[in-house]
Amino acid sequence: MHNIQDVPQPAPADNASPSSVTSVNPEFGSAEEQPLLSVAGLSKYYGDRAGCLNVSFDLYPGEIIGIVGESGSGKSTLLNCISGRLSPTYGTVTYQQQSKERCDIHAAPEHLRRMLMRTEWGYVHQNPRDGLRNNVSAGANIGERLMGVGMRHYGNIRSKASSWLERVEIMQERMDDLPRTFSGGMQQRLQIARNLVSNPRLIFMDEPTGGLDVSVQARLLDLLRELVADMGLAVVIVTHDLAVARILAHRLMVMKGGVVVESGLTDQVLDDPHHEYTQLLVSSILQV
Amino acid sequence: MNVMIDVQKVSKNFILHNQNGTTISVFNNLSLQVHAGECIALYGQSGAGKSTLLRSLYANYKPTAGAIAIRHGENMIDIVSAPPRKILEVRKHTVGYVSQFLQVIPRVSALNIVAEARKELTGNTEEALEKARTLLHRLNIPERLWNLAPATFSGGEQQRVNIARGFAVDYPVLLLDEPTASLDAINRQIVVDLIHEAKAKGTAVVGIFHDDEVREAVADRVIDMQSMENAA
Repeated sequence: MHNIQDVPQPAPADNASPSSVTSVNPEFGSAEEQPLLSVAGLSKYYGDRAGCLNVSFDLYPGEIIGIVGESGSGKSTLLNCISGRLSPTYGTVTYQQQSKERCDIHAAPEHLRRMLMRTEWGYVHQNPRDGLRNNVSAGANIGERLMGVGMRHYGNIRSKASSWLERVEIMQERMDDLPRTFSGGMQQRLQIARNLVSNPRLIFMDEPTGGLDVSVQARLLDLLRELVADMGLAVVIVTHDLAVARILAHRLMVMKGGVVVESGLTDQVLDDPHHEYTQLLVSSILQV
Repeated sequence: MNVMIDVQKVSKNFILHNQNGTTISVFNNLSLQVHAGECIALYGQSGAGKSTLLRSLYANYKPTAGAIAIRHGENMIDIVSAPPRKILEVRKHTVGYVSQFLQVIPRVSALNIVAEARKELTGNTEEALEKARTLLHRLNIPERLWNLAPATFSGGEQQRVNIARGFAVDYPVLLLDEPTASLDAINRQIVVDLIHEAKAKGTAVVGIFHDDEVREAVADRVIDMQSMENAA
């Protein structure tokens, strides 16, 4: 007889309308939760060649999905299509906005897509120079997103920027320095702060630890893990590093030749791979 | 007594595609029920499939056929067919797993490793840390090590951190893969006590115990994996 009452029950949703009759939900979690992002039948052709082919998945709030595969497997094409940076040839990407309104990302007007990109979404590039403004200070890089969401008070913006620098472990006296005077690891942490400052709900990451040496990678991974958990972010992360995927992702999609060949719970895919290609990937990891 | 784990005709094969498609059949048509407050010991030589079964109960391995229903709150959830999100929810609330070796994450301290699952479950950081301290203390991990990442700890210390981590949440189902393998007699006895306390609270325990003394002390039933294979 287990003490089931010791297990905390989820607090009732405060936005539940009074008309909705309290349904008896025997589940612990919120099974009724709507996906944040729904990808359906997504294909992208470059001429005759498919970059990615017929990819479908749902991403729920707070969920982290890893896309793994070798170079040329279609990971980045898929990420670009999902994040609205590239138009797919077929298929839809539906996003549920904070306002609960659902929108088809590729059918939506450009201004809505841009608004989402600087408010509810973030995009962390492999190369931090692609995601930073290199000719303005570190503080201004963080402040820009805040001004994008309507903050105008210089003092508030500056103090928020400074607290975010601290959160990503950058000394505050570097706030007025240009990003190019930072090391690669610092630039990457700055890019992350710039993306997270506006309290986004969904972050896309393209090989965030790619160009960094291992000790810097470990620090960044640990930081990402903490921030993502604290903020309850949903993340789509592309990586070829299975160790990174294991630490960060809840579930994985393995891609080869533009096709998702295997998907599932991260540790299940990595410890009990079923597809030939996944078995090859996992067995190719060098042991230290 | 409530059935906590209901294994229904489960089979597991591994197909090694890159090694000439060799198929390894580990077990066939295995059925097993574990009740609340009961401890089952999996027994058999190395290679008999003990760890494979234990990992299947945690959904770390995916059986080839059959169902594994776990009591999650009021429902029985089949973790063979459940989507990843559901499995993570079952693991968070219901099923704990102590692996043979601690998987360390760079830079995360022993104290935080132990407290993490409880913190995530209850949302109460301070209480989770307090529970972690109590367990580390009980398992004789010197206090000066608590704030260090366990990568440099001895094998026995890492294992005790791993055990503390598994017992930090009062899981209704607990899976133990050789929890006492590299422990001395004193710490072995502490683990035996922890298992007894969990059983008294109604936890269903499934474990692999190489140490005969430990197995005899905690197990209510012993499942011989060799006979399972033959029974198929």
